[in-house]
Parts: sequence; structure tokens; C-alpha cells
Amino acid sequence: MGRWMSPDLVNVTEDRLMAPSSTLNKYAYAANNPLKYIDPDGRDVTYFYDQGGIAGHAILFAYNQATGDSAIESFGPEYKLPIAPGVSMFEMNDFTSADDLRSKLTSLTIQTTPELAQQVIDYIRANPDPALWIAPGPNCSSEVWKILQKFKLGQKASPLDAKPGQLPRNVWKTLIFQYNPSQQGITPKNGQDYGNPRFDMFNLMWLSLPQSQPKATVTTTTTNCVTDDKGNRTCNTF
Amino acid sequence: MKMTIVLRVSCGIFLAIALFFLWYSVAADYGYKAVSGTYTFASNEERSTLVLKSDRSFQQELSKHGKVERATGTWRRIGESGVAFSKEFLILSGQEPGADGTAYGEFHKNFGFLVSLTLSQYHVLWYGRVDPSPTNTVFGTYTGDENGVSASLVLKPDHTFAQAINTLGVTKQAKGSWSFGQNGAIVFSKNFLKTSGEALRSDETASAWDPKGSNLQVQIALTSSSGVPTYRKNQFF
Repeated sequence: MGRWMSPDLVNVTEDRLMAPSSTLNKYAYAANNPLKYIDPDGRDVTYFYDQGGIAGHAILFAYNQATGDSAIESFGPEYKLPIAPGVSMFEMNDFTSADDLRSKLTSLTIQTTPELAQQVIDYIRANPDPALWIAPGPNCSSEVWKILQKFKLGQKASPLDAKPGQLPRNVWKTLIFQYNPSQQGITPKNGQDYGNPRFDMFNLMWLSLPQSQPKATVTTTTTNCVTDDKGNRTCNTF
Repeated sequence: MKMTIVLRVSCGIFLAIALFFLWYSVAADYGYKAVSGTYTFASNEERSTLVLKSDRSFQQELSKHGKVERATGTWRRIGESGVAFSKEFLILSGQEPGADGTAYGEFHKNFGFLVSLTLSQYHVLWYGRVDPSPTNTVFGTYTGDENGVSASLVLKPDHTFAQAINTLGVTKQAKGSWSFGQNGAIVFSKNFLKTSGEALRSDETASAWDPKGSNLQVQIALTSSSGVPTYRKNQFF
């Protein structure tokens, strides 16, 4: 069994130490306080929409608070060209805290079953992003939309609608129509979730980012020793 | 003759593609070098100059009612085109910094090359529900989710609220009222406390979504009559 025995040196900040809900434990259920926050299920898929830049950016975050498992789909170009080598976890290094994520991204959370959320996580892990990023696609939106469609989480309202796979804005419009039609036509605000979010989701996403992973680990082992009739001592470590 | 036309068309297509690549590489670039430079802001009351350097430092000068303030600090990019400034940033009229005082903004490129910087006019506070709701109602007890701040909010059925903010051991409390506004949004009275522990200013509003999930997203926004504060980059000198 392995345990995190010391905090990640990169991420020990005063803010994080002061905030119990923002600890280094990425596997915290309901901000490490299951009695405090109401979180009956804890499995979600969240679409994050960065509205900035030339066309914005689409990110998909699937997480299972019960097990701490999560995966992020964020595909982008290595260089600022219409065709460039593709990179995963695009732009994620620009965020330095959960507050950054919240201040910069608009989100829409879809609450799912535990099984479905885990399937999305497994799918993101098992399917690497394309080698080449091309502005009209494959791009961030097409990769996110592919996942949403595969798991029937995103459905076009009409064949005449704009292709969600082309632009982050189109994915947003499609999802808002599907999950929160009363908010259609509004200008989405950063920091707001227009779906069905749970508490602490930004902290959980932040703690799921690679640079947030605890780096120092200690493996705890158990040793059982037996001495036989002849006095020979045999030990098994597991 | 036919060959010349084909050659010209081919050259034209090649040139158009090359120009598109060139334009795109400029329009999509929000890197530190691309957006650094001197920006100016002017309104009826205020004038400001902001120098962003590619080493992520900034110098700012703000003159208001004949008084000139100067600040130096750091800036960094967030996401595609976002920017966050260190606490030294001088807040302009019409600008609403984040809950911890951080000034946020967004770079824009008109036509792909005319750079401007708009400053954020709102921030969002998340309050998580801490009591089970017997029915699908907003009444209940919530707790805040801001670093270093312990906040609680009780929404009562009689459309009053009680709020407590504890920062570094100092607790401030407030009582006020709330009502349903347009689109079912919850609108708080001016007594609502910001994360800083201060009540809303006369030009600020606090409103929230009716929480479908387990939390309340309270948007602190400015009702500025002068529009979004925008710095424009001096492009050509």
C-alpha cells in the first residue's frame, strides 16, 4: 500500500495550507469533509469553455470523487499555426491555482452515473490525442465532442445546427441547449457553472492537474517472518 | 498563355495560404512577447498608462482628479488570453477585482492584430450546501469556498439571510434580504458581505443562480455606467 507522506514542494503555498478544502489530497471526498458538504454521488463530467483567444478552448474533465480518479481532455497545437503538432493537456500549465481555473473558465457540469463517469475517464486515458492539430479539426472541440457523443452526453438539437466539433463555442451552445435551455443566448460568465455542479469542483480539477500531483511518496511494506522447526527464519515482504 | 494563367492562379493560391498562415500566427499568439508593450486608458475621470514587459513585470501610472499614483508589479497569462496581475495593480473605476484582490483581465486582438486589454468587472463566489435539503429549495445553510476565508451563509424562507465571514480570526456578520430576480436569479440586498468582509458598494450587486446542485454561485458585479475599462495597446510606436 502506498501513502502520500509529504506534500508536493511545488504546491505548498500559504493559501493552500490555510484552506482546508484546498489541500494536497486530490482524493478528497467533498472537500475532505463528507459530513460537512452534501455530495451524495460525486461522479461528474464537466465541460470547461475558455472564451479567450482566436476561437477559445474546450476542455473536458471527468472525475469520480469517491475514488479520486479523474482525467482531463485538453488538446491543442504545439505552435500558433493553423496546422501544428498536437499536444495534450494544452494550456494547463498556465493555471497556477484553482482560483485561476474558476476566474478564467466557464463550465457546464453533467452529473452522471459512477459507471459512466469512470468509462469517460478510462476512454480519455486509453485514446491518445491525434498527432496533428488542425484549426478546423481535429482540434480541442472535436476531441471533446467525440467523447460527449460517444457516451451520449452531447446531442445536437438539429442536424442544421452548427457543428459542435468545430468550435468550443458551438460545443457550449449545444450543451446549454441540452442541459439548461433557459440560459440560451446569454453571454456565459467565467467562474459560473451553467450545469449541475457540485461544491469544490475547481479545487478537485486543480488537484488533478499533473503539476499538482504529489511528487514525494513513501511505500509502506509489511514483512512477515516465520521460524521453522530447524530454526531457519523465512521472511515475506508484500 | 494557358500556362501563364495556371501559374498565376497557383501563385495566387499559394500567396493566399501563406498570408493566412502569417495572419493566423499573429492573431493566435497571446504569448508574453506578443502582448507586452505600452497600453493606455482614458475615461472622463481617469487616465492610465500600463507598460507590460515580456519579463512579466509591469509599470502602471494612474491619474485621477489630479492625483497621480504609480505601481510596479508582475503579471502572468492564464489560459488562452487571460491575464492576472499582482496585488500592486491599481484598480480602475469600473473594475471588479477577484475575491482575494487579484485583478484579472482579458487580451483581445481586433482583426487579429489590434491588441486591447479589458479588465474584469465581476467575480464569482461559490458557496456549498452543508445541510440536506428536504425539497428542491434554495433555503438552507451554505459555506464559502475561498482560500483563507471561512464564510457561512444561511438563506431563510422569509427571504432574509445571515452571513458570517472570518478572515484571519476576525469575524464580520451581516443580515439582509434576498429576492428572486429575473430568470429566477437570487438577488441579495446591499448588506451582503464580500470575501474581504466588506459590504457591497453602491455600484456593486450580488446575485446567484438558484442552485440545482449543491452550491450557490454568487456573482459580485459592478454596475458601471462607463462601460468595461479597456486599455488599448500603442501598436505602432
